[in-house]
Amino acid sequence: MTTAAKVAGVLLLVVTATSLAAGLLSPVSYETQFRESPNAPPCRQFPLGTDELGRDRLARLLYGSRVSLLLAPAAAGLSVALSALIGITAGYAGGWVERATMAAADLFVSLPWLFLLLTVRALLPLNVTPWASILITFLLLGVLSWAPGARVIRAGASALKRSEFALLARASGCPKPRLLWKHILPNLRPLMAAQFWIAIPVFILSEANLGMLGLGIAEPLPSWGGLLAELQDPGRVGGNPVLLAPAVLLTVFLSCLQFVFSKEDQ
Amino acid sequence: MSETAMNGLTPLLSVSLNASYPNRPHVLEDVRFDVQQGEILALVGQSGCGKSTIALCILKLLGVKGGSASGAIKFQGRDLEWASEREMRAIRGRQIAMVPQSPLSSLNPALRIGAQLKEAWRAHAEEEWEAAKPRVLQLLESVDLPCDEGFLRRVPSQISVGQAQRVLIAMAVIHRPRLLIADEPTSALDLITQREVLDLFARLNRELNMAILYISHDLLSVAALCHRAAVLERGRIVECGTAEQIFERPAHPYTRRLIDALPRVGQPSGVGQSF
Amino acid sequence: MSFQATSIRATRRAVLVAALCLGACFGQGGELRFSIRSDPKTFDPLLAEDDASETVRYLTGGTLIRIDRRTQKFIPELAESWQITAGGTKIAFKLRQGVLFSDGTPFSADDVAHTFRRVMDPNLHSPVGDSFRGGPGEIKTEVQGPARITVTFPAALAGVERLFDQLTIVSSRSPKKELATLGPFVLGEHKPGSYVLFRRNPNYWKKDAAGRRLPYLDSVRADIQQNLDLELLRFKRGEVQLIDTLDPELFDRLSADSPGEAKNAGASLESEMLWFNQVAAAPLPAYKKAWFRSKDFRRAVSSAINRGDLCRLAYKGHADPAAGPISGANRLWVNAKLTPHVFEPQAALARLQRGGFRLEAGTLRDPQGNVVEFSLATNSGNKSRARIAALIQQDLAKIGIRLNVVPLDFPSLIERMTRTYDYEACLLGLVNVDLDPNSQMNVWLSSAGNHQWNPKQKTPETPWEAEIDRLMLAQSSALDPKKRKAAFDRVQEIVWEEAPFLYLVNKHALAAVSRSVLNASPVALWPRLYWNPEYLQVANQMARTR
Repeated sequence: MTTAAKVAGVLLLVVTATSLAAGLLSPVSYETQFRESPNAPPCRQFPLGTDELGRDRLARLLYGSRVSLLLAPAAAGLSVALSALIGITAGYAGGWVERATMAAADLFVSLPWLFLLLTVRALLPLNVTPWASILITFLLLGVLSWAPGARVIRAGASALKRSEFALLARASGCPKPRLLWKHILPNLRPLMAAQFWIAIPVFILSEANLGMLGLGIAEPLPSWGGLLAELQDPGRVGGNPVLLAPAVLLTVFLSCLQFVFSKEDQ
Repeated sequence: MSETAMNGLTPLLSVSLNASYPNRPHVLEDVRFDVQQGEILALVGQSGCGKSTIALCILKLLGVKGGSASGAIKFQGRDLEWASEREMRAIRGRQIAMVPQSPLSSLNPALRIGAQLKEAWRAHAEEEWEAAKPRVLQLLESVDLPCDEGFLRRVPSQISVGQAQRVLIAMAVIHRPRLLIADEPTSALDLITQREVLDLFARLNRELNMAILYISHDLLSVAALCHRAAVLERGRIVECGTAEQIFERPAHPYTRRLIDALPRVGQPSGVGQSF
Repeated sequence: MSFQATSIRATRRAVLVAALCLGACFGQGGELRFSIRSDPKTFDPLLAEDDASETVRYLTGGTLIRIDRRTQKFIPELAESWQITAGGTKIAFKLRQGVLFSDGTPFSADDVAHTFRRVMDPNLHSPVGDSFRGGPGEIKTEVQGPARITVTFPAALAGVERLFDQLTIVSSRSPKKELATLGPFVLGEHKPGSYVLFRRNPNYWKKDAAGRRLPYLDSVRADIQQNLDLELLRFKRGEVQLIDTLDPELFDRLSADSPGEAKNAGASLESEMLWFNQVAAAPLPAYKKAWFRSKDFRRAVSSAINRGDLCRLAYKGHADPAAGPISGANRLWVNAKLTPHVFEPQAALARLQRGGFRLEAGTLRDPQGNVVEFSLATNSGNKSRARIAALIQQDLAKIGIRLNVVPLDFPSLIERMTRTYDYEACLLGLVNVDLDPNSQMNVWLSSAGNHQWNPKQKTPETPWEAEIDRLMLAQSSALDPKKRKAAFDRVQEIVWEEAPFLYLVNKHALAAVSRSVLNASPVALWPRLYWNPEYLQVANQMARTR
């Protein structure tokens, strides 16, 4: 492991540990409204200042990290698993199965998502606890995002199926399931890893957009998506660079992840 | 057909084939040849004449490349045309094994050498891998490969082409097949390594009484190794005979052209010294 | 790049200041620019319904009577005077003489009669016509010479004058039909998606005190612009000179940058309110329906909400706590005796406890032991409303009530509110554009569709709703303004007492007026800034761009 990767690993551990220990590190809750000091600048009591309702930005950032850090990778994992299952089945089976699956993927990508999500919202009860709503959110993100990944993985699986080593494995009497498991799947790992890394930031941000439909992470729970949404208004950021903290943290987190895990892959 | 009906006169493999790809019809046209028990038969021809297609036909794997074949393939007196996929799987690698053309791309880049050998072993053996491992290490030694654990832990990108080819040969003979199809096994190798690999084939043939279908465009290696040779031109067998017949009294003009094309200035390597 | 942008802005400002220093730059001519949100859907003044079309109508149309946007009183325009007789069924107008349409055709009583025929034509489906169509029967007009006309209604219509503010007189003779107008401006050019240009009406009848013909402006340009941030940016660059609605953040930002240009016109007609679903057939558990139908529960929730904090934190102070359905901005009809429900969480809790609710380990339970938890649906994408919801959530948590905030897209919310009744509580805003209580019949009558907390009742389900029904009907037929006011005051008191709607805040009317514009003073009523377009002046364009 290179020094850079080690540093990245340590940083990653620090970020994860601080978000898990949010309760210990932050003396106040993410939901407490200090209504006498809204929009406070960074000070000793509030190291990152407060938001417009007087809530401690540091506490919200730490708790938001916990929510997003645990769930976005989980949702990305779910999404990649589904993509892999569908993509490999299609690529390996070939023929009409492949054509049908890819047609389904095309259809899935072009579906009117808004209406589907609205239906989901309509089917859910109005009184869901914030934590349940988080789970539903990321479950949705994971389940609904299989199609683009499946297309990529299908292409990979299809190429691998025709590869020389797969042919030799067949010629050596390797059973088909074993061929899939030992010869095709391990070679798709880099592809799946790429899908995974791409999905994490996308999910963190889409969560904020789902909030528009009453699906995302509900008040008063914070999330990176919600905190980043504040950055949409450039006029505010100019006056208060502290608002950039979640963006900085997200960038650091993702670069560290890439550094540590992509090195290991090689 | 019962086992007792087989005798020394029954060829190990008897082939009569037509094959085509969707965009390349008549890749093979009425290709007939036999391979006797313990015999090394060469299939000679220029690139693209359909040699590799024959190998896939015998293993009934032409479908993987999108081609289709008709005709008869009799192996140990049994017509493989009616064999199920399940029966074919039992034959592939155990009765008939293959050494492919391009060593590095035929090894799974994601698996360590040990794991690849283990996979080849697992495909047919009932015995536990750990129990069989010492014998496999011996096998590696017999193909002049390092037989330490360190070598087994390498991935294909960490070994040389020659080593890769030997690993493939070791994988192919791990179950002591009756027939080994070697598809251009030396084309990617330097001359010294080529020589070593050919010696290895000769030894395996001798020691295990393993028949070899040696597919090559390299006449010199054919001359060094094979008992008989069949010359393939544009999907047809134009001449077939013992190695001496082919090299000393070629009958077909194409065969003569192939032989005339051999380099005459000096002797490029030891293998050509036999004629 | 940012440096360059700054320096250009700075230069512009310098030029502007220089222009102002020239002193005599205000006068005749010039172009006023502001933004509208969308293309007008129609240019026919009798069909206008959307804001953009109403802007066109307001700038180009002439009416018999106007509601003075500042005093909220009726003022004569094309009618010199009028008289209501025959128990409120007749209105007789004496028309201004010597007035010409923009194309030069003279204005007379025939045009008023023609306008009435057209607007009441059932095939036209005019929204203005609908507001005149109170009950069965026909509206008749009787022309008594070029300057006199009497309109007869089938039944008395209280406060009928206000309807004439919407009725643009169209020409009976002009070949240009609706494009011949009586207002200060005429439609010049419309580039869809880009702008609508209005030019000065050379035949406009009004003159200023010095006897100069109005309007002062040569042209008005309404740019179509949806993005509020961009609108502010263009304002700062001097590309538009008015912004009629600013959100609190943008207002504060503008106040900081150029204090004189951000204008707060005080409480607007917009209020934010919360209500509980009291529909008997709603798909809710019976115990929750019981809470929502209990006045004590509603009042307790109301007094647990800190309205002062809502104004301060959700609107940055640019709002006032709301007392009832009528904002203070509606000077004629507000019941000034009402004050907002007082913030007293302890009293609220005590009130609930008297009703059998109990607070156990920080959680409020009803007499049957059910945890008091409900969802508050609101439309997504409204920042201030999201903040209100978060503040209320915290306020209610203090008396042990768990509130789940559910932002929904608008169509879904409306679907739940009006069709499935599948919601528990709802937070929305309300704008009363029309000041008269008659415009609110569809809210207050228990049989009405917009009686949000429990719409379309066959018979009033509670005595107080029956009383509201009675008072609303009484005020709609009474002609004496004092009696009407008394009845509507009582309605406001009942609503305050029973709290079917919990009124939270009245937003302030926040606007921006460039220093280069003279005579523009924002008011609460629509159109906030250009309600007196004929009197608006801009600094001389030549001086500004030089």
